[in-house]
Amino acid sequence: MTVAIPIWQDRVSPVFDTASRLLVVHHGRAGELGRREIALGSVPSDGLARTVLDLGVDVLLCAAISEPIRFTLERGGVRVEDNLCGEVESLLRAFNAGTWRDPKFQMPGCGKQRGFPGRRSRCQPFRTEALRRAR
Amino acid sequence: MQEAVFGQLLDSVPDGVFAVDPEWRITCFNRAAERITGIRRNDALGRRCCDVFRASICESACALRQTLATGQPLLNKVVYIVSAKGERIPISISTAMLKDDRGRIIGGVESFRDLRVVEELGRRAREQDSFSNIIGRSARMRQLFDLVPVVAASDSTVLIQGPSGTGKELVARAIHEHSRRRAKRFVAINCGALPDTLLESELFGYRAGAFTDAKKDKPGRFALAEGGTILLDEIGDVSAAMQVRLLRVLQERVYEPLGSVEPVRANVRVIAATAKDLRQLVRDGLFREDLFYRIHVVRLELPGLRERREDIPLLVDHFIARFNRLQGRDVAGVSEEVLARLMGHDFPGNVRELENAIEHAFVLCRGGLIEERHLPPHLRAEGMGGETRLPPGLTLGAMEHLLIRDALGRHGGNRAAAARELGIDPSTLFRKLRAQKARKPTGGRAGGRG
Repeated sequence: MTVAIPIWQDRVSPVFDTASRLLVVHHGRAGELGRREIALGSVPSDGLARTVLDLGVDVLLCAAISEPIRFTLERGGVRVEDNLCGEVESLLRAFNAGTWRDPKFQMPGCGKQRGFPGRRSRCQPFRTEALRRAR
Repeated sequence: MQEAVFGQLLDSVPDGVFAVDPEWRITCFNRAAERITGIRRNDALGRRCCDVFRASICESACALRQTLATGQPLLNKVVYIVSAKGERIPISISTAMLKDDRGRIIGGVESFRDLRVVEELGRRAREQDSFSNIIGRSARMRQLFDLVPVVAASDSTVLIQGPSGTGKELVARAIHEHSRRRAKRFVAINCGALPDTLLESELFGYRAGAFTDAKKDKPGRFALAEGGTILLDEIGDVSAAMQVRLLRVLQERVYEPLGSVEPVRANVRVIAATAKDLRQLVRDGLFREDLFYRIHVVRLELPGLRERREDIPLLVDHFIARFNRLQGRDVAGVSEEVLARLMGHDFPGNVRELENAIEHAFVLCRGGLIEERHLPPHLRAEGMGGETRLPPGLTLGAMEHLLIRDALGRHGGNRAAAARELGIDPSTLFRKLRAQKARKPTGGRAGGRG
């Protein structure tokens, strides 16, 4: 499995659309097989999804990501886990351990949104529906 | 108490405001910030600002970082933030430093405005100032906007009168688009640009064998517009013989394609347009009275641009936005001098002349504002005002003749290019040339209208 995380100052980059570096980690049954860092600086935001797809990424762990890029990635078979924040290594360890949904890795505003009429707890229902229609 | 008042004050501001400490942790987050970002104050306080704000510049060019590094505030920088729903929200941000009583930096403050609101207001304003691509907020145009849907709802023949370049075809299209016939075709034909025989075959079509080279049937414009709308532009220029044929279609709703003996029934709404005074043509015996009353069921009159000068800034913005879009350019607008120049011009070629002037400026203007030097020569200061050095006794008709001759000379006889420079439609130029030929001007003293 290949996991990618946009990084900035050893933390998850706040906005994937404008991220400058992408950490790509390859995992095997025995654990991490290897990793490399890709410079995204010259990739325009509408080419980001293509870059990630070309890298054969299975899971993208990121913070904010705009809907069109997310949509293209999911159509290409990439699982996108967004609205994550924190230190990259901690998040990677938590992801491998299955504890990455811990609140400390969640960006603010992405949990329950009582008091904001019309907002859903997360955007998954919208996205799933959009994806199903597209397929 | 003071802190509570300060909190209320911040919450009453329509712009989002947040403050950070030197560690980039959020220390203040007002109600508008909650609304724009979709993040509650309690969730935001104490968190790193980039995790809350998610702006396109957080990583590469953080505005607060720049302000804290240089001490310089930043004003109205346009960026976008990505909401938790994945929506890109355009915002304009301004930043400033926060200092304590002793002048030590204790953080920074950032205010941001949701530009969707501004864009929405702009869109609504533009909607109010236009109707089916016809731009205007003047009283004359508002009357027209009110009238078009009413006219469209009926199936009556419409006569649109107005000087050349005022948008008669746009109004005809608007009527079609708001009518029950909108699902069918809108077909326009310029009757003034075609000789009789060609116009007849264009309008009514022909059958195979009707004449040499007529190998197979060709549908005419009436057939193409079946169920829809046909615009007979420059109706005042059709010959007497053609007027008879058109009268038959309008009266009996049937026509015969060339070479056919079977009449064809036409279910087409007819809109006629002309720059001429048809009533005067009737008085002069140049236009059939019966045909005039057939097409004069509903009449719309379009004002010349000089009669609605207040629409010029709006039209300028419209054309700049259009050419920016079409040419992938980033022209910001026109300078105040240019706008004053345009407002003072009489625009004999009306909106088309203005459009051509802006298109001309786009060729010369690399970016930023359109300046006077980018305008066509006749609109620049040196080409206007002052004493003219025209020969005494020169009539308006003769002046027109000279202008047309000069323009044709400059463009090697290319009528389309000459018409563009003169700010008139090629068919208008063709008509004027034909009229000049008929008048056979001598010694630059040709009579006739201007």
